[in-house]
Amino acid sequence: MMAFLLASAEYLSASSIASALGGEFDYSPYQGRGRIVFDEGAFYFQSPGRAYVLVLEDTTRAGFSDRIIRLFRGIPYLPVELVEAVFPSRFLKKISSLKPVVLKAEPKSEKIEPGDYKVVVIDPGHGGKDPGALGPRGLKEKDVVLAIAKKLKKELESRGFVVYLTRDSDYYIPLEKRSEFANRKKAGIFISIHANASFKKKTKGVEVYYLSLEATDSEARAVAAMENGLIDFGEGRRQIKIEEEGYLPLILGDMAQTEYVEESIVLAERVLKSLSRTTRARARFIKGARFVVLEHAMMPAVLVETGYITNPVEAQKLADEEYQWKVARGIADGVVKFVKEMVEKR
Amino acid sequence: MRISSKERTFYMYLLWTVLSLLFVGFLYKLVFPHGFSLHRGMVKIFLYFPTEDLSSYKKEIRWVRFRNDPQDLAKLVLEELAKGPKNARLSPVLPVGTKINGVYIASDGTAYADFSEEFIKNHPGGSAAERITVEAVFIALKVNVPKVKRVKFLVNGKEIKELRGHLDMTLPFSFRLKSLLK
Repeated sequence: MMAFLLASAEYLSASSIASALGGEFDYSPYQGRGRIVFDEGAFYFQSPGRAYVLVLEDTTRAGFSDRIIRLFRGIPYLPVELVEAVFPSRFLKKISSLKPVVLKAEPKSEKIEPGDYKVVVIDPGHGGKDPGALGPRGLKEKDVVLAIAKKLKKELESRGFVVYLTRDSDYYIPLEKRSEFANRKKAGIFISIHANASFKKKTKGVEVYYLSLEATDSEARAVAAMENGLIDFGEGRRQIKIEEEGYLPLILGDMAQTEYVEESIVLAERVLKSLSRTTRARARFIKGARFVVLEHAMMPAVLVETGYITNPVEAQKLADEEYQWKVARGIADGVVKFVKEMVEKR
Repeated sequence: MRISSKERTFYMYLLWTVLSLLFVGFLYKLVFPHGFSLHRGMVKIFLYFPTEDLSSYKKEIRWVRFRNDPQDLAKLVLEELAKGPKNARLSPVLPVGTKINGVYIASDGTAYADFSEEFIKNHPGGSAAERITVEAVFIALKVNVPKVKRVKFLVNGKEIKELRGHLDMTLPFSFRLKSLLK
């Protein structure tokens, strides 16, 4: 308890707020998301994180907290400033009786030891019932990417990383489960391995993608809330209904990766560069888009398109063991470069 | 002056021909009140297909029957898009056999584009192809139907979570046209 005396910020535990409002509190550690559901609405948040959404009968408020919504001994703690800024006064009256807990202030710059990137989760795309993209002569994306992922695991292990695969044989895993697995393993880096497809055989080259938040402007978020059945547009007037099950997967899920997008972009750049160097394939671009598999990742995360399986020449290469090693080496080089840079920066 | 019966028959035929021509002219005016030309009653639309390396979009012009209702127009636009590019060096953007069930445009500018199951079943997959499909549908609707602000994808009237395992299809898509058509 002594440590708390040095502290500067006041917090209220999510569970105490829930009971003060006569509601219920619920937290999923693997997704890093929680919610407080009470009579008049619900409060959804990311923890550890900054994103929150308050849904009431007459209004919806979404935003980012200045202070991190912290996780302490498995329970999310909301900064008092956030609670006061977001909840209308009629709720604050009920909450005012609560005694804030003082938690140690967040370090000014998050100091990350090299070890923070030590665990890498590699996700071979598709699998099982989902063959992924198809190449000539029955070549399947799911087989190619598994072979590459296994080689990448060996490459990274030889460079001192601890590596887990989301799948090590031919079976299907839902997309959200893949990044949840990485969260559970407390991975420092998440890499999803894919082979690309085009409507035209001629398209070729390597691409690396990261999660882009392009469409998460406030308007799109409101639409998202509507889409999820959170907000029901009545004739002219907004009516609100609260989903009984599930969190706000789309709104907050997007945000889980938000804090890491800048790092993800750097990782994407380094991987693209080194991958095209070892394979001599054309480096097309890095690009942001809304990838389900990246949305929930709470670490730098990229999706590597190792080549076009729909291009006859590249498909032949991708099926070749020697070339697969080149791909693995290229990705591993990029990861090492990224980690070195990040560690030096801190 | 005497008119022979032969001449009278001739004049009768002449009169009949003239009257018939006048009648045909009248009918023509009735059917085509504004005269006739190749694109009469048609409207010009612009479709954008990607180049073979999927690096940029090129414009193609099509004529479709004029539709007063933006939703009908939107459906026609997507039907033309599904036919693919005329220029063989450009890439198609919708899977083979994709039919457009309809487009519903909500008052907030969200277009709900409803496709047949081939939209997913025949899609080649891959991040690039998925991106091209989503972008090209958005561009086609945004450029030709001014009301449209964003596009949400449906298959047989139902929401879809994914296309072929890459993009999150649960939310409507919205892009800056400038960034796509640079």
